[in-house]
Amino acid sequence: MHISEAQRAPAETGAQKKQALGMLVVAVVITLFTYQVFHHGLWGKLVSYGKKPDLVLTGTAVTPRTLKLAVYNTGGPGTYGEFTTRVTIAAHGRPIDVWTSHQLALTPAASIQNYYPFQKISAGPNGLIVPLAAKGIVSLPLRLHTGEVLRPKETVTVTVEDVSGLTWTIPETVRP
Amino acid sequence: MATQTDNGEILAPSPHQERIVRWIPVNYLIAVRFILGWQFISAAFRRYLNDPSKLDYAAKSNIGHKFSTMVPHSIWPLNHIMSALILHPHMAFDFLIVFTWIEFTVGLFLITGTLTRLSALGAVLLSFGILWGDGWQGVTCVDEWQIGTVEGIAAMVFMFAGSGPWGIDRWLLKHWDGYIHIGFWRIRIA
Repeated sequence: MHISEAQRAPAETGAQKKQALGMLVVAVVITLFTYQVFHHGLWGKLVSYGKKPDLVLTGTAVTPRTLKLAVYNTGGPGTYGEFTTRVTIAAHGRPIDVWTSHQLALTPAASIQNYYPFQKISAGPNGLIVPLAAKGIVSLPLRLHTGEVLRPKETVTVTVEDVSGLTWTIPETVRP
Repeated sequence: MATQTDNGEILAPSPHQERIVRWIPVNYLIAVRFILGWQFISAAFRRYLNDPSKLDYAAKSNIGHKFSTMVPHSIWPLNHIMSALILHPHMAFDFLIVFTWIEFTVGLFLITGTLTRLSALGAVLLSFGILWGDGWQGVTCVDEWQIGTVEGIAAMVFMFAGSGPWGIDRWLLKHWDGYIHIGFWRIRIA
């Protein structure tokens, strides 16, 4: 069958080929770049930050009288938070003071300084609730007799335990 | 065999490339354009119709909470912008309402094929914005990363392909070449 020149479909122009290849390059770069950054999918061990809570305790400060516990929840589902049920201060592997689920549940609102206005740390019936992206400082008073045990410049370990048994620790030097 | 599309394009294999379909009708993309538009317009519907408490500043379920959960692992430059924005909750909330209306407009324009190339650019920016901010979330899978990449790249195709014959653009282009001029640039938006 003969097809006249006028009927024949136009060939792709050079510009269209460049656009198509450009789109391919942009698509591949963006997809693989974000895959690596968010999930370590190309190199390293695969991660999913949205799976379970992950507390960052940077900024925590200990004095002989108070534990200023800095908490920032950077992982887990946005719909269901992290539930802190135990906080421990230990020196040389020996627990100095422990706040149990019951004591944490009684934390007054005034002792919690939230950094962000939307997602907030609060005291729940069974401990502290730290939703995803909540950041703040929880002030917990040490019991006086243990306060006498802690000396400035001593190194202690602060451990935060989730209801599921996950723990996060940070070493701290006792401040005066 | 030569066939003619609704748009008047002639589809015919050239003699030496009979087995390769080099030109396909843009109608084939209508399914993608419709559901892509629906992803955006339905975001506005969910907030205004299905669950209005998302846009109630006083409600605990307001969308600012969802927005702020994205911050911990969002990437540059959105991590800085979002972190600064959620420290000003009223501004963040206004932003989210504007964002919702942009989503509504982009969705409506994509579904109806109106200024398709421009609305596809909007869809690209919204999708990659979501990818940059929220691409790390997803509890069992790489959910948000899939949403961001697939929607963004599908939208990118429409920036180049346009609406095809089934859309308002077909009528617009009868009266206008589809270009706007900004300074030195000549930009095709329809």
